[in-house]
Amino acid sequence: MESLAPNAFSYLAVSIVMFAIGTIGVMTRRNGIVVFMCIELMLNAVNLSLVTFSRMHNDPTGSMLVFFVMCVAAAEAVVGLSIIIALFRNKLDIDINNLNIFKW
Amino acid sequence: MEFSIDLLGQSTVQILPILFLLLVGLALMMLDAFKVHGKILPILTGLGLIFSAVLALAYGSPSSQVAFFGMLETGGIAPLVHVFLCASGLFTLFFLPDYLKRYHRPIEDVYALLVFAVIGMVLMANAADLIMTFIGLETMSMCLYIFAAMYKTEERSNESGFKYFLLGSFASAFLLLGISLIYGLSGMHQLPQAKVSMGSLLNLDVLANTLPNVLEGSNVNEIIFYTAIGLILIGFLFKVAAFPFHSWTPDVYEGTPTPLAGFMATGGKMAAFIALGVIMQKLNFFYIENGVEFETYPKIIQVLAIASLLTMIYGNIVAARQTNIKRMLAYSSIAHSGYVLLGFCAGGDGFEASLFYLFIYTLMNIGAFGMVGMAERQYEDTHMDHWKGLGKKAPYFAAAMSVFLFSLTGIPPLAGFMAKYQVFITAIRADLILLATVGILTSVIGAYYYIRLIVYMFFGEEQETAPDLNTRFTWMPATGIALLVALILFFGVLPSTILSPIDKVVESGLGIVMASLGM
Repeated sequence: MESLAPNAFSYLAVSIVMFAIGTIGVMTRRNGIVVFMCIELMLNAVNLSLVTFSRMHNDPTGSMLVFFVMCVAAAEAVVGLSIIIALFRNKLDIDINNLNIFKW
Repeated sequence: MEFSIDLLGQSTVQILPILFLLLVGLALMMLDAFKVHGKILPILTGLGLIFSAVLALAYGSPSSQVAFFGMLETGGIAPLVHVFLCASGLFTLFFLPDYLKRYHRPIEDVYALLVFAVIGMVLMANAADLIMTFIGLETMSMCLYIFAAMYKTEERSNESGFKYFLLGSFASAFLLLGISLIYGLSGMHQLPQAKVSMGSLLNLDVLANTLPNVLEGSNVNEIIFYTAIGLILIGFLFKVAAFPFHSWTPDVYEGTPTPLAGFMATGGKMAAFIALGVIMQKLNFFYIENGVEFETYPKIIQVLAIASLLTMIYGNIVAARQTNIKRMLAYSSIAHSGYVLLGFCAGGDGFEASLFYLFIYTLMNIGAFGMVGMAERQYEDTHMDHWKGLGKKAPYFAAAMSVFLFSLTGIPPLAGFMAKYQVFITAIRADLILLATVGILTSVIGAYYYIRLIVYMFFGEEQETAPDLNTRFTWMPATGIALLVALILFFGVLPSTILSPIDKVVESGLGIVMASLGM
């Protein structure tokens, strides 16, 4: 660990906490958009950890991956929000508990 | 390769097959924008996929080589994988245009998306770097989410797309966290030379060197490593619909246009499996000492074995209770994931068997899904009762469907049998007796629900309102079905034609694909 070591771990802790909040949010929230926001939060938590590792190791790979993750998150937002809009137009509701057409 | 342009720091020729696919995809989008419709788009797509596969075979080298700054593998197993994935896209195309036309919803963008999905699959399966694995996976998934939600006025379609999207991106977040932790570990290893020369720290070859050093004698690092691999496995097991992460599969396949559901169940699954297998191979999950194979990380293999066991049992038992054919095929595709995972637990030979299984599974499952799509009475109505008496009304249809179903069951002269045989025999050789036994027993349950459909078709009472399937046999699906049936029979009788090239490229990394394919 280089000079940043004491700080680095606090950044990693923040990232893990953010990831956990996102995970819990996905599992407990029922509004589709909030669930989607929680997934974005998880991705950003990973971004923070990647940047921290990148700085710790003095290596650009992690920062590089962060750019790709941001692109992917943006593309995901496009696809996801349009699916949510299509769903809302048909059902006037995006509560994920009411998604129950399919039954086994 | 005299004409190689050194545009990307490496020989551009190596990534030509993928660049070509990309051009085809963009061209299809443009053609759609300029209102070029009709049969010409699927035909162009098909030709593009075939030509790209030929390019991959022509320019891929038999020995391992990387392109694109060490991001992409283009030699060894890669050309063959490229061909398999293009084939899964190509066979889907035979069934797609008629299906879309029947419901008066010809959505022409679907062909461009199909090509982009194939690109994502190839990038993911042939990745030599975890960054590329992630990007490929997301490219593929994004297209598949759109496929699932394609009919935007149909509530079923919305729902399946939404479910797939939320659960899929949730799983990718875990995969990404796993990659991040691996990156954190990999960088701790101090190399004597400057790190710049190594390139990406997430390159699989680099990881194979750094990880063992980092793990040595450090408990904390070992815990982090197992957490990371666990998270990566969550991502992959989700994509291949293995047991604890399977719950999206039936709902998504049911709401997706049927031929595209077949594409998801075969191409998407194959890409994710190969990516996982390549990671396992490159990171040396198995090593050979005195001719005997050992596991480097036995705990991970145990987890995979348990997942495989539960997937086989769960998929088959639940599939037997279904009355909707599409849901039955979805649960059976979960079960088939279990068989592929069984191969993965068996080490190096198992990977070859799994690859063979995936290819054969692609042939028969695309055929089965495509024909279910043809037999739909109205949009997405696939109840099993409608299949009663089809054997008399549409004998050719019923006969071809029977071939696919018998092959999925694993009846000897057909390719499905050879695939299952290879997987089980490698599992038994690797001393996974329990898993192999459970696999064989659950195949018997599989026989029940596949053959039930055949009994319905040939011995069921004829339905008055059944659609006239003979009119649906236009040249496109007919060619596709004939081709798939011929291939299933061919690989069932002569499995070595495809097994030995797989064998060569996987085993030595030096196999000569082109020579053994007669090119």
